[in-house]
Amino acid sequence: MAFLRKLRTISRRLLAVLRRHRLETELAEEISHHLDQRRRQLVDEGMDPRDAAVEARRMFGNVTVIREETRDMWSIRWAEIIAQDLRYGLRLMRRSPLVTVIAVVSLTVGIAASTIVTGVVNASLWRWSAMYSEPGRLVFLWQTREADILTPTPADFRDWRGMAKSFDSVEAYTYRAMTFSTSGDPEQVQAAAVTPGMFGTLGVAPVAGAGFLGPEETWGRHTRVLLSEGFWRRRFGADRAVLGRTLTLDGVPHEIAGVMPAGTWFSAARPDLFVPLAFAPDDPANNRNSHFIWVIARLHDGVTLDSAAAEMGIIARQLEAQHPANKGLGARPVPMAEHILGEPSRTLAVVAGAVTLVLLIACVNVAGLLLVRTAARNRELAVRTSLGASRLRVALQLATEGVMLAFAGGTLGVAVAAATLRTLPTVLPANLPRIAETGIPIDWRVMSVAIVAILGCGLVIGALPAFTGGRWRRERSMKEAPRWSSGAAQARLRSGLITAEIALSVVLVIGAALLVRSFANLQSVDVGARTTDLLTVRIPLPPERWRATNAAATSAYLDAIAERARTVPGVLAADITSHVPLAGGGQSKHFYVVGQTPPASYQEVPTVSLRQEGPDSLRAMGATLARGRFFAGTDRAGSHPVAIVNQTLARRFFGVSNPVGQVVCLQAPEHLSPPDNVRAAGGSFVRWTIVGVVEDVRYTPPSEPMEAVVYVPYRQRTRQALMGWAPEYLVLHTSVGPDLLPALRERLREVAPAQPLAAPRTIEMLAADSLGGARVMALVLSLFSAVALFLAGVG
Amino acid sequence: MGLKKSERQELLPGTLDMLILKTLSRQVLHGYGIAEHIRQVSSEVLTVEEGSLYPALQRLQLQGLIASEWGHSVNNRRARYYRLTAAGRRRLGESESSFARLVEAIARVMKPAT
Repeated sequence: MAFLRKLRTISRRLLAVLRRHRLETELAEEISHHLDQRRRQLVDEGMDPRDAAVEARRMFGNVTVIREETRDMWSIRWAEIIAQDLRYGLRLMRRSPLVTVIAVVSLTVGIAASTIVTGVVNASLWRWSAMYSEPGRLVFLWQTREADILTPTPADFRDWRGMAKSFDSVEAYTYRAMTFSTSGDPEQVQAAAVTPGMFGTLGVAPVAGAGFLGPEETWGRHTRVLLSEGFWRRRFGADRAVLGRTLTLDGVPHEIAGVMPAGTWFSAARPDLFVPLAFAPDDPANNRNSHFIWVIARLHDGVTLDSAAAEMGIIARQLEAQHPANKGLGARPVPMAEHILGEPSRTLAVVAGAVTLVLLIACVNVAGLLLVRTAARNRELAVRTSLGASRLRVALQLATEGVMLAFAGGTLGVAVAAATLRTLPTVLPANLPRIAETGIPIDWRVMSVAIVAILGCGLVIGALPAFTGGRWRRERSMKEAPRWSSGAAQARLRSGLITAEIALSVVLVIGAALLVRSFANLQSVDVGARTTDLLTVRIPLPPERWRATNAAATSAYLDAIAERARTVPGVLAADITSHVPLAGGGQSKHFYVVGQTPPASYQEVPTVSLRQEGPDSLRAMGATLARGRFFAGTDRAGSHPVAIVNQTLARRFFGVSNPVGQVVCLQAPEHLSPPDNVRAAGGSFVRWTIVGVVEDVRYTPPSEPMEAVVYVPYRQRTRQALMGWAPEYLVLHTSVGPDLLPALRERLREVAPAQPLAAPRTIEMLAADSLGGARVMALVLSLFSAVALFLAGVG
Repeated sequence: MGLKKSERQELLPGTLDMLILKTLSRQVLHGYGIAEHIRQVSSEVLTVEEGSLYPALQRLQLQGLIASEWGHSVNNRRARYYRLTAAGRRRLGESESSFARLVEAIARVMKPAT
């Protein structure tokens, strides 16, 4: 009984707050009436009217204090009402602990999952846009050849910069591996060579020091470097004193001009440093043929993408007319955000959808649980409402319980999410831009989404039982047994909830199953190389070595490295290669078969992918020979140029006939090629004889088709052969993993003391990397559907 | 003006509510009327800073022991009239008996030993 009275007191207080204003004016009226009466009475007793007024006030006391005290009575301390509801809710929870635990766990999982996904989306997508000024106006400028896109050449970049009017600025960059040496072992760093205006165009300012000033594009004035924040912290402990000091890169001292903030770089690459993109006067790559420059630009205010595309088309045609090397090449701007974020966006959209489903399932689950408990309290609630507790009051109490649960689950969920996000960047696939560098912080955007999710859940969970729990009809007489008038409605709602939950879970499970199956398919794709006991190490070469002018010396150097590598204990076979399986890449070369009908024009000459190998590398990789022979020690500079092709190439160019013995050329026919090329080759191109066919070795990710690949011995790389850069990988058939490196370094010290070794990866690691995105998706979705099933089953 | 300040009795804490309830047990009054009644009936021994009635009235109203209604007073002014509710009547009964017990206990303690 006392409990009921308390209930009414609380509801009265509640209503009093709502009518606060009216009560204020009423009190004022009451007090003035009282004072007036007292004054009259004093005057009747003979007091002077003015004195009576003063005396009446004195007898009354301090009006302001009185008003405040009265206000205090009705001014609700919300805490009191809420405290009571909380106590009641806690009591309920203690009475049915299992339900409480399940509810809280469900909500924790749901909120944690959505917070994690929001954090990832935030770190990779939203913050990306926040880093640059007006990112919508940034575009990539691609060169196009029919349906393919290419990176343009330095000459094209300069022409575009000079001729295009649609852009505020046009910048270029490329990546370089450079050797950074101090005392001790030389360290290999990833550098991005950028035009001086790059960061201005992006809209990113240095966090320390200054940026590039402009003159650095000229050779001779190019020896300045900007550090990335990560590198600055790692190597120099974020010491500002390094600014102005010099750093030796590839043997050349560079002045440390400044530091760029974490997350500056817009693609998935993580350059340690930024150097100016400058070309030495005799740099053979500084021409119209070497397609290795990326170009970005900022659209002029008011210029649309379409009009910029039209202008680039016109410019491309002008260049075509002026330079034979540009025949067939077009130009096209593509918004940067679309290019970089497009694919990860799609992945994240799928995951976000899955997470929303999980959250829904969790809410529905908890609502159902509470509904069951409400049904068990039917009798109690009926009694209560029949005695006059307002519907609103009861509904509020049930809703508070829901909000309490949501809050508890939500707080735990955010804590779990925070812990997970700290470790997540190491597990995520590399194509989510920049996450590894900037981490995944929980900033205001993530927190607000989490809070909205928690409140939303609380409302949903609280509102459902409240709606049904509040629908009690008053009984006219207490003598009758209370009728549970809402029982039927409740039962219907409950079965509806269960159906919804099961439906949602099924959707998740089906989605997960499909993804897992496609992932399994990808995984079982034949690599064509050995799937265990294969180690690859990168041996980045300094610029003097990778230029073709030094081909003979470079070959000798690589020979020595390979030979020493074979002496390391545990190594069964080792040799040099230009590209490792599953790591992508490949040099694009023209290809035609001598004796077959030559193509009619330059554009029609087909292309294949070129690899350079040592005599043992294909064997070390575990490639299977289908016809002919592997390379041998006798295939060297001066001997007959030989080549090996893969099955895809063989089928494409030779059909079913045997390619062995055929002669091919890795350039377009002389009469179609640019004269510069023909001159560089000494008048005619090298002709290669096919000596073997191997089963396809997979370099591209499993979801993409196999390429046509041609292998040549790196020893036969000469200036005239126009082979591009020297190979930079060592492949080893060994069961020892990256632990091999110290022993390898030891052996190499005798022949190549300054040679850095980088990126040791086993074939298993390469396989995991190439499947990255698909694996994460499959894992995540399986996890979610397992959780959903668990929740559905438990509820 | 009544008794001098030194002769006026301060109220024991908590008794104001009881006095109000008792006052309203036989009649319906507005705030001034309640103050006057207590002053007169106690021959001005019990003094209440008249304003302190109002927080007490609000409290009693929130507890559901009294209810109020607006009406017109003798000289046709708007005034708020208070009346006792059933719950208030019950509480008054409880308060009266516990107060009587208290008074008796004090008297017994104060009585000279025989």
